[in-house]
Amino acid sequence: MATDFFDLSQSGAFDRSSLPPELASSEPEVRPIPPANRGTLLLPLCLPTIAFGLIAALAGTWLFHAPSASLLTLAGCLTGLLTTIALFRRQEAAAVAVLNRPELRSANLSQTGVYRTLLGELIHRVEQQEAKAKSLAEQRARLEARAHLQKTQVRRLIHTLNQVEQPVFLLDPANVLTFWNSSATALLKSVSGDNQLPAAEAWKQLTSIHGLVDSVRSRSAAADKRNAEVVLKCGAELITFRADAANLYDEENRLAGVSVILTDIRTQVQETAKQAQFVSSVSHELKTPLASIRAYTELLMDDDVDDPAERLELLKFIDEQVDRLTRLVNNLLNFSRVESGVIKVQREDTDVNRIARKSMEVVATAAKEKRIAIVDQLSDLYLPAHLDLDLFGQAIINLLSNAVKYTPVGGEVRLRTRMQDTEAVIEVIDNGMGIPADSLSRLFERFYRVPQNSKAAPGTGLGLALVKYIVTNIHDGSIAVSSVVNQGSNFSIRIPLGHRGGRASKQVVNPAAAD
Amino acid sequence: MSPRIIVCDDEPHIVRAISLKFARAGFDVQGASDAESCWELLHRHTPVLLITDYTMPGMNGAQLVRRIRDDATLADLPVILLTARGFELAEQTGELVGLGLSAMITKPFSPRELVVKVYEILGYEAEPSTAAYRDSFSSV
Repeated sequence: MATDFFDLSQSGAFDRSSLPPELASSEPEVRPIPPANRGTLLLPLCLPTIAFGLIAALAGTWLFHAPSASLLTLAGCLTGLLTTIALFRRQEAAAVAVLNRPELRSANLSQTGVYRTLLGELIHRVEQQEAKAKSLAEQRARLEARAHLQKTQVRRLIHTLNQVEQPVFLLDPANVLTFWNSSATALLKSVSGDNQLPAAEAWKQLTSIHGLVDSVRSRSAAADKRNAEVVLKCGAELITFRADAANLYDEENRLAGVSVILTDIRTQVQETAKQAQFVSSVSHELKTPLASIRAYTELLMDDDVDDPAERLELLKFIDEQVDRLTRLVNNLLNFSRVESGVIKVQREDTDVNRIARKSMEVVATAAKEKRIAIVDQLSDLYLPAHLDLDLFGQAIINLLSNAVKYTPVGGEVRLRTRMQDTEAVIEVIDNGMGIPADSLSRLFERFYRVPQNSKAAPGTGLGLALVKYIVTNIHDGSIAVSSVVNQGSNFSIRIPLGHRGGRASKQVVNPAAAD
Repeated sequence: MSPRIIVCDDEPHIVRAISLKFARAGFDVQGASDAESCWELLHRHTPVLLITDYTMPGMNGAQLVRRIRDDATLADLPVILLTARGFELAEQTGELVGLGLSAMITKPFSPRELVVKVYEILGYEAEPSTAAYRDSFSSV
């Protein structure tokens, strides 16, 4: 019987009054402790706020002091817990053992024959999926790399298009603007006059181009590209463009859009007009002396001139006109050789004064006729330079003959050469009719003639343009002019001093690249 | 009194050649070297015909003729226009429309043919002694 319970309460070591009331009121179950096992470890059984029992733990025996119902529940939970842990550990060990079994490697599946069914299938599929995932990942990496490359290429193309001066527009099949370069942006802004307007809206305002786009898109002319001249109002200016529109196709040859490129042809139009004017002017200049020649010749042939002195005079005039024509033709040939083709320049080391003297000789006769003195103010120094004798000589001759042309009878023309720092300066100074200030800036333009002076002497407007070309493009020099109306003009050429060694250096110059 | 003709051209040789030819043919010729002095001359000695160049500095021949047509005393004056410019003028016919030119002759021209033309316009018969009849005229 349970009488050998060591009743702590009696010894005073265990004070029952210290138990909580719910415990203190219950009757404990007592079990005997064999005397050999006395010596008890007492453990309280507690829930967070209450103690509901005691366990006295001895070797192999549990002594409980708690309401039995709770003990049983507690015991049950603990048992369950311990069982679960044990089971888990066993399962884990078994799983590891299973996974590590060599028979599970797929290569050995068929050998063993044991795992051939579902498990093998599953594992095989898993490996397949892994391989597929890997190849998809590789594919994706490649596609990403390609996309990146294409993006870089597209970015480069766009950057290049933005360097292009011409406005470029790309339209989709519905005529909506999908791409435009920087020049196009600028153009749209200036045409619409609105910096805030989006480009696609501004594009709608370029109605003169829409017609061209529609005709190309519809391939009405059975052509995939067409061009037309369009005039656009950019701010205050009206600018003529050539619009080139072309269809764009995708890989299946379906219409993917239309490209429009605008080229400013103002200069071209101006050039064409200038050329037409030049031809007209040239033909007029040629026909004028011819008319005199024909008229006088006919008079002489028809014996309409009685006075022999007068007959002689007319013959002289005819001769002069022939000279005039010859000079004109030479001028023209010179100029067109320079302007339109490659000319062979032959520069050599020489003295500027030598060429100056020769040029003076050429103009001497014409000057004498007008009793104009050509004053020699050449430098005493030897002025070394690297010159094409003919071309440079022609330049000085042109200046001298202009001076004579535009100076009245009895006037004076001075030819002066000097050294200044590293340059040789050649000046042609006259006291003739001078050039109005507003003509000075255009003086060296092809075909330009000073309106007020064109009565004094005929010309094609090429002489000075040729001089400028020879001086600046062929001899690396510069030319300047100053003038006062009715007082005279001063044309001054500057070229680098110095010989370049060697007798002649052939140089092929393409005039198209110059000016 | 010899019928008067005025020749206006900035090229003095043209004026001289025409003067010589027409003097020979029995006309009294006055020359002018630009449109302004020609205009003065027209009022001072009204001619039976004017021969003028087209291209001149300042007022050109067409503008001169327009002024003539707008003037009461000169409006019916027969005018021959000389020009070194050929087909370009055809393109500028806008300027020449309504000027009532009796003829337009391109340079280089034959003075002989010019005389024949003038006779035609004025309704004269050419005198056999003049050079005008010496060669059968080619088309003017």
